[in-house]
Amino acid sequence: MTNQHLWQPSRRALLAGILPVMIGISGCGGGASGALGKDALLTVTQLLRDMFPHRSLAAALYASAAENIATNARGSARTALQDGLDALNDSSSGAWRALPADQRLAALQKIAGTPFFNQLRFSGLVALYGNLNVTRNFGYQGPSWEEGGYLGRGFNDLNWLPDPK
Amino acid sequence: MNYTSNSNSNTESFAISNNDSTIVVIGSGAGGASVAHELVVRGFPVLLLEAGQPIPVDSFVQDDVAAFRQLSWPEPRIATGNWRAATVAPESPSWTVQAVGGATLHWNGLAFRMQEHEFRPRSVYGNVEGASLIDWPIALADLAPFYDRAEDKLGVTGTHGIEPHDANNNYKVLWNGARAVGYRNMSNTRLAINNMPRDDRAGCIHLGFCNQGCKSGAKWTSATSEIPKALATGRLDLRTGAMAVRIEHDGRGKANAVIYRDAAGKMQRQKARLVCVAANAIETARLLLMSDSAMFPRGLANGSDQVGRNYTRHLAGAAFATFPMPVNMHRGITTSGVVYDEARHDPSRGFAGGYLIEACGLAPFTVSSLLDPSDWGAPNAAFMEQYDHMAGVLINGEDMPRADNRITLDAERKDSLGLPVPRVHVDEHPTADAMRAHWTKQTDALFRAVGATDVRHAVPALAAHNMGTARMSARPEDGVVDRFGRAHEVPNLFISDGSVFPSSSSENPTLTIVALALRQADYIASALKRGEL
Repeated sequence: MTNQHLWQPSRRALLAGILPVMIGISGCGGGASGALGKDALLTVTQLLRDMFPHRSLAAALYASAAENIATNARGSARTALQDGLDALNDSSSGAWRALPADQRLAALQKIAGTPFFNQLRFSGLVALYGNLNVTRNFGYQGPSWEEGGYLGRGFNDLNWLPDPK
Repeated sequence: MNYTSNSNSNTESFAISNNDSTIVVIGSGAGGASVAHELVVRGFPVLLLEAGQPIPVDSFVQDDVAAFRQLSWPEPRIATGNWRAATVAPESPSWTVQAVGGATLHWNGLAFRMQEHEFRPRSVYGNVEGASLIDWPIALADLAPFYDRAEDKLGVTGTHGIEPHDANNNYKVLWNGARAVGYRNMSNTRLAINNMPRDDRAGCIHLGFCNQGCKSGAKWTSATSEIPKALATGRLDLRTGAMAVRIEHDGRGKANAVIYRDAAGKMQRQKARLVCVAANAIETARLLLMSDSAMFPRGLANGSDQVGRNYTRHLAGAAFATFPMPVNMHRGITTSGVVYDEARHDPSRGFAGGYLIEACGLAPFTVSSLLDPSDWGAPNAAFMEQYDHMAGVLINGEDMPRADNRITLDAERKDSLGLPVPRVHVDEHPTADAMRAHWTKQTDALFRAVGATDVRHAVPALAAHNMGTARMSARPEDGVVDRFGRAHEVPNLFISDGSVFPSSSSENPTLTIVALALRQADYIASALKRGEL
């Protein structure tokens, strides 16, 4: 059976401006590349490491998550991100990311719950926990279509409790 | 799924001309597709308007974020009030779908009947202060035969001789925990997901992605059942990308046309003899409110001022627990079983109505997005690292209707079509916190009874089940439609979705929406045969 691909992904691009909190894509476009400076990228990387500290994750995964966030932050979202990073550095009398771990965390505690923090946290969830290369480390196996589902691949293999009657 | 593959039965060429004998159904989800299908098989041609496009089954994406983007309703809705959506998702407070099949594409397949007492909430719960409860104008006995037909149509496990699925890992944890805390009523039946191939649908292969669109086609959706069947009759004219924006009426107050924006962006005026609206409770109310006129200054069929009011979702919760031994909850059916014991009315718990505890195996991203945002850093990371040792549940609890929890039209903000953006206002009933506290305690005990080392509780922000905004009522002043979903004030206007629910009950709404639609279609067909309507 051939399929008529009437569904048009481009139409869904509308979502980018509508669900910023839910899917972590902010702003309605209009910005240029959206790329942050190198220092800002390193700061976002360190923020992700402190917000989501997983020893089992390679440093490159945090760096690519930070790049992902920087690329998706366009227009006003990019400004908000840069402003938040600047404020964090200002309150740290210099470079926040150069502080010792306990002082970095103390500075984060102070901004927890702010829109900047919440947006970055949510973007971090998407960029890290939405990435199978990250969650595979926690035992998640992800898409199963190509493997024929989890039928015959452990959907009911839990054996440390009795089966329901 | 291929909407043009039925060309040997002439569906491709079937088109309804713009004449005033046309039955127009708006929305192709559970309610609209069921009504449309029932009418075409009885010989009545139907024009079905769907704002979205078909999404072929094989293009569903097994990724939570990508699927959310693929399926979601693309226009903004403004959330206000004290509910969590207003702060967490102020522009998208409800996850609804814009596509052929509507919310049946993302539903879990949980197909429950409402309980007998839940049709009489005003009588059974009494005068709950701050709630706008009324009894349903129908009883369970009125709906029972249609529930029976709906269960057959949807292929619901545990009914009509349909075998349940094998218990999956997540349900094993729920069942054992439930038994350990003294619950007695647990089941993994009542799923509209094929165990074995049935009714032209495949058997489940436990993909683990039910909400993202079932790629195997085992889950019932109107897009894979009612719509292709209706097309095969040669009497369905399905117009996709067609967004209804206004229902017009004649000088006697009967609906006589639907204005819609077609896929090319052109406005069309389709004449109609009868209109069924099934656009999901937010959009249904919005459409009626946008259809105001000199005769109906507050919106079509809204002399009672009840259109948009009494909006309910379900009180939703989630809990995730980690164990010393592996669970792997992501393997297989997302909501794989249920505890019914708390779905009773027991005012000693401090709230009216009850809640279901539903096994729910979500992917890491969705788990992480549900966890308390104030949890971050090392404790949260350690919890997520135990993902393969994690079990999860969702809670589905009865939400008290309130007159001022309502859909209105924003006075200034317009969507991309230039239509007023709907505002969704919810101030939760004061007893909502009591219900949440109760299920938090119960699910905590349930998981710890089977050895959980950590239990995290969450309040999902997005409403999934929208109900109540055009409720059915015995007295016209209490609601919008009668016991058949027929507008009290507009005799040829029907509402065919969850908007008609006077109360949310504790059950997921889809089976009730379908049963009501089947009952409504019988009523419409009889009336048409008698020459009424």
